[in-house]
Amino acid sequence: MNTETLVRMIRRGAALDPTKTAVRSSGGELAFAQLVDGAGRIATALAEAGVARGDRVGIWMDKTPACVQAVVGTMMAGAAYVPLDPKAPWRRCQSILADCGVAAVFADGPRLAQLADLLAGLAPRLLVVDGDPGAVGAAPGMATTTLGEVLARPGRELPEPGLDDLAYILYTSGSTGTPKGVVHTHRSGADFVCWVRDTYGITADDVFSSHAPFHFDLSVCDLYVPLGCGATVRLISSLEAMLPPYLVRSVAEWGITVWYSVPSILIAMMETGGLETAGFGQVRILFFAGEVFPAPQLQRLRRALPGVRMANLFGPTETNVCTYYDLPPDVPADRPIPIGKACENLESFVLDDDGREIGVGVEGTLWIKGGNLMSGYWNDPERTALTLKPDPRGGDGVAYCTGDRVRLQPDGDYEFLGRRDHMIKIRGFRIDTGEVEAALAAQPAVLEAVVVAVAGGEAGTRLAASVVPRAGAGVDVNELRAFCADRLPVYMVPELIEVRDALPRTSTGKADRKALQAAWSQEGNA
Amino acid sequence: MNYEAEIKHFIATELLPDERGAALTDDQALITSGLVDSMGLLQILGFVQQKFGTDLMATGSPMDFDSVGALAAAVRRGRGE
Repeated sequence: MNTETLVRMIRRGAALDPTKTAVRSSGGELAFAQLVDGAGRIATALAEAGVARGDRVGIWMDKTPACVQAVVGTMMAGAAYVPLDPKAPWRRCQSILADCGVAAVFADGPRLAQLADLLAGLAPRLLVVDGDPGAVGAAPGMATTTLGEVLARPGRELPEPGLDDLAYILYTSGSTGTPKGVVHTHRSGADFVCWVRDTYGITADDVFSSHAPFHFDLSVCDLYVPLGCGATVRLISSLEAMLPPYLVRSVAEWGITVWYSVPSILIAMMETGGLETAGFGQVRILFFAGEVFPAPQLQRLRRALPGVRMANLFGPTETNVCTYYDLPPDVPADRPIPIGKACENLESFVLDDDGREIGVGVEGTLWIKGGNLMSGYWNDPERTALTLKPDPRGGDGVAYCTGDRVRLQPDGDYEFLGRRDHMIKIRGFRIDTGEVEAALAAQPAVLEAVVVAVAGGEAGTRLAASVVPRAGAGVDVNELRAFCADRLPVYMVPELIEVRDALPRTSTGKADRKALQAAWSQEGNA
Repeated sequence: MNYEAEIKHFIATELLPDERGAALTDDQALITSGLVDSMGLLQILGFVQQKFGTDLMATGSPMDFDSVGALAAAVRRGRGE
């Protein structure tokens, strides 16, 4: 049983060789000693500003070594970091910060110019700017300092967080239009991190790549598995991630041994990056997660890298990884691979629609129990109670209802059959179509909006919105798209938008999503 | 050839047809500033390949892409100038 917090793990990893590089990037690097010392100074500044144990700290930064210091420093202060998508519009970030009530905010880059908007109506105690404070614009009216100033002042010893202290809150798409904050403690984060380390034999000689942004839970593996083992992590910037040929060359140059990402970047590295001819350097472990890996492309990858251990890691942000499937030497091209078995530190079970536990061959809903589980959704006991429940089989403890439909195969692996709700994945991004619908419906001319996923487009799946205008109002599709772009990350703005007088309905009066999907498919084939 | 002018003209016409494109300087950060996204970068690289015959995607690194000046320098190197 793991007894170390993420902070304790990082300190131990750093002690192995403090002069070794902990974090590397195109913009600079930090040795373990610098990472820990700098994070300690950040923690001190936060504490001196009144940031207390259990408080939340917003991080709105590019993925840089300084950002890693901010994240670790936040945890050292006993607070939870709330990473914000650096590419999301400030309105979406603001709703997140308002939801969890942040005590401090870190920001950098082009986001500085939007801080006045972002922080209007919020009252963090401290704003830390990594960059020119002059770029912040209209004074947000709170104590403001630069990261440089913070790092120049000595750190002091602070109480260490405990296992049950909050570590991070990751916001995910929510059905009613407001994102949900998934709360993790050091216990739940570290339980997952230790599972990766122990299952895959990670050592200080490994080198991890970090492709995922910090608001995506893949980053919990990317950062804390290597740092906790005294291994280096190479941050990949969003600019670098746009260049598949460069990535393929660089993975070899950087000596990456563990790669973790969504399928789409791996596919891009094959399609335009020459991965199949160049190989993947010294990568010995390749994890993918986030969405189904299209079978034909996965077969190509499997065959291109025969010596590499590959695993499909599966699980929602609420549990991080809960099941995993180590790929055999070859995979079929005509059907998706299983999501595998529950991680060894977790328990899984499948219930049918009547709540009865079922076994091999029968479709049901996957439930997970164990240390990886979130504590709940921030400040939302009702939504939390919908999915985190006392173990329905009886006995102690809570279990999490994933909402994923699965079928247990005779060999013990689960097959993934789809979702129960309106959650879809595009390029690994989690999208609740309800959130997109809420954004569309917020436009004054829109009466009703329904968003479905249809096949097609570059990513293989795209969002298609059907919109009904208010009586007497006209809806301009371009204006509506721009309205959404102001409120939603770019991957949630529907690619296809149509205006209808009315939506098709089911017998219970709900919008008939299947009919809409069929209509979109017909249009595509016409 | 004035690669800087050609590239700026392309960006101002195709990607930023407003005052941001008109005011674009050679040193201004294109991608890290958020002015140009990944789709836009692909369009710029496509233009560069088609117009100057240099495949920057295949050979370039991120440092080559974040400003008009960097792109032009990468084209010159690619063309052995």
